[in-house]
Amino acid sequence: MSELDLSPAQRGYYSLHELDQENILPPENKMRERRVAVIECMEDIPCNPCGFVCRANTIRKESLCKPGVVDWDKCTGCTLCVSVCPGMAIFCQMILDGKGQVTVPYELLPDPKLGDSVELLDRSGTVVGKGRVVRPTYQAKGDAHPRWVVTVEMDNPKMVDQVRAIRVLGE
Amino acid sequence: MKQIVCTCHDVTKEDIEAAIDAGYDDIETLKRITGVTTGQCQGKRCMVLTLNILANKKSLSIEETTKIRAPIDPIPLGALVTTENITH
Amino acid sequence: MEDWRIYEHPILEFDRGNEVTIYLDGKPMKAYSNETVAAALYANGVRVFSKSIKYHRPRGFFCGIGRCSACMMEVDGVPNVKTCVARVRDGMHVKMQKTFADRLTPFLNMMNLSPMVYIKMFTKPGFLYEPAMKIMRQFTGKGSFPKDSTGYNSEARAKTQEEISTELLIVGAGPAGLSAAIEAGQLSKDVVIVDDKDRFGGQLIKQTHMFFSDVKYAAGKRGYKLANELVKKLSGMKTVRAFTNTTAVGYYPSENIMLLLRPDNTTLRIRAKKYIVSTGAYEKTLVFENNDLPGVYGAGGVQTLLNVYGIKPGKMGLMIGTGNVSLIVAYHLLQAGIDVKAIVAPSFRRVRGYLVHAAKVRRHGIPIITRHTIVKALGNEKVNGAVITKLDDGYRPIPETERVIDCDFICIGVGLNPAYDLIQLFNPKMVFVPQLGGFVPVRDKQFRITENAYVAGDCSGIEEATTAVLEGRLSGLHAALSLGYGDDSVLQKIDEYEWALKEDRNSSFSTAIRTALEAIPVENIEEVIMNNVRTGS
Repeated sequence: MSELDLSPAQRGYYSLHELDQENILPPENKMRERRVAVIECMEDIPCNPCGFVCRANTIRKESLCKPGVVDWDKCTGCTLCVSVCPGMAIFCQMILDGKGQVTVPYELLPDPKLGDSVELLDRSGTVVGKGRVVRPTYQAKGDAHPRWVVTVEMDNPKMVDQVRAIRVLGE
Repeated sequence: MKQIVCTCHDVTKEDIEAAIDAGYDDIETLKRITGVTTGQCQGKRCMVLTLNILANKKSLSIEETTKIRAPIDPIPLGALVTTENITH
Repeated sequence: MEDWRIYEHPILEFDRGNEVTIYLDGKPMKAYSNETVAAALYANGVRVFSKSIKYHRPRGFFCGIGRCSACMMEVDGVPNVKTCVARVRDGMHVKMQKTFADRLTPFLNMMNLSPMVYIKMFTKPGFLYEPAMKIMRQFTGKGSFPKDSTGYNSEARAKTQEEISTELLIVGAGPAGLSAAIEAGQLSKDVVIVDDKDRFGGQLIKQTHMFFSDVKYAAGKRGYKLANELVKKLSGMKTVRAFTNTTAVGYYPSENIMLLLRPDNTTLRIRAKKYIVSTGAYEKTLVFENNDLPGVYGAGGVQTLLNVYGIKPGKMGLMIGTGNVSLIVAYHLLQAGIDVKAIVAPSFRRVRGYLVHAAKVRRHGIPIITRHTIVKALGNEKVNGAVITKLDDGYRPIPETERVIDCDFICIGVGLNPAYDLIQLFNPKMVFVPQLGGFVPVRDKQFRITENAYVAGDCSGIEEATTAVLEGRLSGLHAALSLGYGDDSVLQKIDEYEWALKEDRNSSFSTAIRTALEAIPVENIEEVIMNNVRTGS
């Protein structure tokens, strides 16, 4: 029995197909225009920082327990939502100059530096490729937000839907 | 190899089940014959485990703990001896 | 020389204090002044702290917060000290409480010293009983009195017993207790709050993950930051007296006295008009072969070692349980650079915690193995592996499906039991409610369990830190109202917090809790207590 025969709640993550069905993943043309947020939260957890922090007023939260929904026409890709989500379930995606970019929250060691080489991991923890750190945004240590919000670049733009974690390798 | 239920008094699951089979089938008598829940931790680690075993064995639901009495945490005897009382 | 301390962490900076030296059975060990004895010994690679009373099985660090008594050692001549609570001191002498019978451990473990058998041994003929007992006592190894009195502080011999009166006594300074003290302290003139640990905050102090809930309350905050905020707010309040290192040992309703133990082995007796019990919970554990081996820890114990003392519990861990605590602690281990082999749980319908927590660990490569449970811990003096087995639809082990997982510690995260013991001394009506974690008191809408006592937080039902804060605030306000303080603005606050609690419990994760909480509260707590007294339950 492969992992895909399990339900997300048994497996511990959503498959690409399941996310697509719920309209969680942004269409390619939007990603080519600008960076957009992707909220991979489909449970009714009482939580509202994403809706609260969104400056462009694009994340809509019907109530405390309903997940946030992004309007990709208005999202400015500021990544504030990536930094506040307590479940670390929000990411940003973009296709720029034919290359893919994914922004992930990061709270591990080693610290990411601009230009660092990283291993790219998908939702199941499988290494799907290698990338480079293009924008490591530092938050204060021990603050409410994840310590880093890291944007990595990958040669294959089709991988942006898959990459959800990084392993920093250094120079 | 042993499955320990009460770590303070080294009471295993087999011990508890044997005691229940021998007729000590309620928590008050069970704890007196086996020593379970009467050690230093006063049942913090083993009370619900023991009641679960009892409930499963007798096909009953869990109703109540044993009678809880002070002290619920270890206290040196010397601390209970007073020579002076200061009242505020 | 082994050093298991963490020197680089992505979130925390550990304030260990100054370097000091302590001695274990004469051997010097590096320690730091803010560490407890158990933490310092653990950091030096010590895993066996004591031997058990009957079979002399090795025991070690388990709960880490003074609840299980597995870590008791002789400290500076005083026997049976809870080393996970006692702080180190430069030059301290720690000894393992040994007895000659420890050498018989392998032999003893083969025997089955059933209490059913030996409790009747030597009772006939009667004259054998006394000498037999004297010999048996040599076997126990549970500490001995010092040969001379240098171990004791002779000044402390002139023991004093302090007695305090107050309007409101709050036992337990976790999120619920602290919030209650803050609310009640703003209204009433005299509040006392106590906690058995040397710092306030309860379990918050070791929680480094961000909380959910509403931004108005705690969303996005890390637990330990919330603890700092609450403590800071409290320390500015002149109406609140705070006692750390003070353990509530008993409550006597007929005299209305709470008896507490202080660290210098003196007692404190407090008489209050009203009490709030917010003592939290005890970790559940599992029964399987060798479940008492050093290396088998509660998830909370691992969190304490990791996040409070900055010490690695091991190199490769196995996590049992898929609730939020297990998933979060697995993530904490990742952050500390420790390998987690797998997360194992019998459930097959779903991972019990939030999927976002599960996703966090899955994307870093930690597998989740459902439909399995642990049957054995492997190792002699400490864990070096675990045996797991697959379960069928009836949760029974399927034969021939056992396999060994290589690991050097096993973390058991299978839930919490509300702390029922101090509560029961007030003689409320207790009920067993599995959805709330275990035994909880029946209470009314004002959180009262008896005429003079209230409950808040996990000890009233296992939930979250955010609900504990709200329940604490509510019980603090109700207690202050019952003492004659407060006005309409208090009633407004009560409405606001009750609404927030309702919102927080609106999700499917809280369905079971909501159902249970709808069934328990009663209209008239006095009537319930009268019936309790009448039926003698």
